Amino acid sequence: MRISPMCEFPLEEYRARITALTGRMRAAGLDGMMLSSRENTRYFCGLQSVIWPSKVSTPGILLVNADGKTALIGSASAVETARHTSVLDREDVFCYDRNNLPGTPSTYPDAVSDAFRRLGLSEGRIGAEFGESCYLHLQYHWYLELCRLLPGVQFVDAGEEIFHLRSVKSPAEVDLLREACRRNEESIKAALSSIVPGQTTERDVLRHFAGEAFHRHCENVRELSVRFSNRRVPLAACPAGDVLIEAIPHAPVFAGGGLLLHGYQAYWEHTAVLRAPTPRQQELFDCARRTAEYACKELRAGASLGGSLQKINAFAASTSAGAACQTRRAPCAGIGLDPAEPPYFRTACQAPLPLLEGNVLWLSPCFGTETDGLFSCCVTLVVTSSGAQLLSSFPESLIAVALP
Amino acid sequence: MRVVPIMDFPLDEYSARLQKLRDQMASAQVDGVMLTQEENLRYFTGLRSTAWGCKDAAPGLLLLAADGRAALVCVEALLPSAASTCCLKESELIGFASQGEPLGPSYVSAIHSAIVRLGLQHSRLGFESGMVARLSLRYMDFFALKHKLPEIEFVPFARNIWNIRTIKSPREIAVFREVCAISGQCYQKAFDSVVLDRTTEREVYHCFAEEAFRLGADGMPPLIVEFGRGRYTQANCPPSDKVITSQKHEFLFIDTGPSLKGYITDTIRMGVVGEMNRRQRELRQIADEALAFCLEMIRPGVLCSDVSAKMDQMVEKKGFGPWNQTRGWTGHSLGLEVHEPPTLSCDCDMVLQAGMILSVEPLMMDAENGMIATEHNILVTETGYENLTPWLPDMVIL
Repeated sequence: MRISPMCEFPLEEYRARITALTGRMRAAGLDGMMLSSRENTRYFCGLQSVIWPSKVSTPGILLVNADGKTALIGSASAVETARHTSVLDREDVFCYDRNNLPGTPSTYPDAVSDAFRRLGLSEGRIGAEFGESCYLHLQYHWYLELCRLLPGVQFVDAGEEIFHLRSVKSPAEVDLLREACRRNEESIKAALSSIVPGQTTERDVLRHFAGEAFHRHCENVRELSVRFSNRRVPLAACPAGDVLIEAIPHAPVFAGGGLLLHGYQAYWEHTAVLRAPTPRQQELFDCARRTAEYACKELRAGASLGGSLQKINAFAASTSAGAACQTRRAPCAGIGLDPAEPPYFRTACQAPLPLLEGNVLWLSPCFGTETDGLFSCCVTLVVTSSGAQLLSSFPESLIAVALP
Repeated sequence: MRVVPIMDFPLDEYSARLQKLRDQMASAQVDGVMLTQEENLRYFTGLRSTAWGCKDAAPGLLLLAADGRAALVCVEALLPSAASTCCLKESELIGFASQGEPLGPSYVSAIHSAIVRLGLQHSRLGFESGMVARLSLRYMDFFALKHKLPEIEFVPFARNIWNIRTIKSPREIAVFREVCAISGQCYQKAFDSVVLDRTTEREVYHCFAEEAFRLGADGMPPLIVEFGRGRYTQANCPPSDKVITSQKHEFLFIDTGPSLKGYITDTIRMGVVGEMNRRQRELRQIADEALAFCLEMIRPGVLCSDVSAKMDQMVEKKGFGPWNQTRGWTGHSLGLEVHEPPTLSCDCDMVLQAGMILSVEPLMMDAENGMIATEHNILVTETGYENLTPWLPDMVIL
């Protein structure tokens, strides 16, 4: 490994990640690991590329064997970028070339299978991104071709191994997430505060958010969900429309989403109310705040995930607006290079998995009714041995937008 | 089908697209199709969700039978949102409870139930495999689905989908015109923002993106911004903190562009510090000639691989073969994805048709003198082509 011109963490951080990965591989009886996604290749070797959304281009697949030897394989045009961004040694970056250059594989599966053999992985159990929170970034027919070229390889799901590592954030990651949270909150607040009732549309709020986020030097933004009025606010994950934010007193405007900073995601959501919240709306928000406060105290390293949620739900139900609590199932998730990633709360199977020190979660207890709207208190926190430490600010109040 | 509150296009556009999909099913002799990709769901039903970035979210999976019956499977919590954007009948939207887990066996069961409901459990089912396609489904779920439905023959259907999506409707072309115009202004702003020896590549990107949203774009795919020696060879590399210096003859390269209603532009414009030297002007000239040569070939009926091969031959004949970086790949199509078929490449057997939108991007690279490229977005018309991105000189002086 070497420091690359665009690597985002100290070299020791990447070394530690690969070492931890090989440890998990040995424990799981895996001979190797094949990592294809934007998030996993960036996490384990620092690879960056703008071309991940393309279904034609192939930025890179990372192979790791149980000894920690690595290989990164992409197209010929991707090689120099792989060398410029990833921390792998230059000679560990391989490619294929569609122009049939002598000595160079001409297809992606050929190049990847060559690399498998190079790392002594032509036989064995190979972890792959099959399961939870994983999409294999490989066209299906290429996957089938790879299986054909490597008949001695058994691909098995390694999602649990990957997220066991990724879910525990290092101090450097926590700092990055804290900064991403700050910029994200500022951008969403600025966007909501820019609303001019009767003139601004939901899509205008989205654009304002994006402009603010780029002004704060984010890497990119995810599409912000902006929903105006009691009718639209409950539509989880609905995109912004050309819906005019009308000058209706006490009407809510919800905004939720986030930006990326060096690949790390931030998520925040908040509600603005036109003119001022009604007493009932304020009560709903206050219950959300109190539940979030309770959750922050409840979540600590060693606590059971499912058990903690049950306690949080019980607390929410005990508040004055308990009957209006809307997030009984999944008020939170982990966050990192993915906007939602393990650990998730698992109420169904009561998994004995405990929260770990370094887990970063976003939490958003939500209260609401059809007539009053939905109000949440969204925070991002890192789990420590003594409790949860906030990475975002604690929302003090709803944003009140003046009516003309 | 029904009109929904948030639609990119009028209902008849989606009706027409779904009819074409049924026609392709007949042509491929499949009984149904299963679509998982965000772009396909948006294209055929209008479905949109801000949850697509979450791998455990299941915003929507579309099943369509050859007789027109449909089912959209999505997690229960996202069903109201799906109903606001997806133009299928409400009775065709099927939510499943996730039992406290983000996804899991309940998702596979829901898909299975929907397949049985449509009578497709013993069928040839087209799915997103083949040309330019990637399943937005966990492989674990796909394997489980195949295990539950051993009588289904999953048939690669990507090419059939592209037979439809490659030809843009007048309304799609109108969106492209609008976003290309936005892109032109963003390039102008980005170049104007450069203060030599101060502005970084990343700052140029941020300026471009901010301007894009200010002008009405609603998305910003990652932008390439690269300056100077040492960066030219790094294809598709994100912007860095490298400062744009006053070193004469160095290039600033900006590539891709904003999106509107999901439709992505992809252009290249370059700036040079001071002026080009003689060799750079030669490379510029050959790149321009290659572009012009390529454009002269653009019309319906032309084989895409021929466009690539002939352009390469022309560059070779002029003595610039060794510096031709886009040998075998002259460009690609655009739409809801940045790279769509047909590609103007040596391995593409598709034929140009009116309504296709192409990006043509010859690129010359000289280790001593840098990289010279240009990229325009071109609409294939009934008689030839129309350049959707004629704005800005191809080489800006910094």
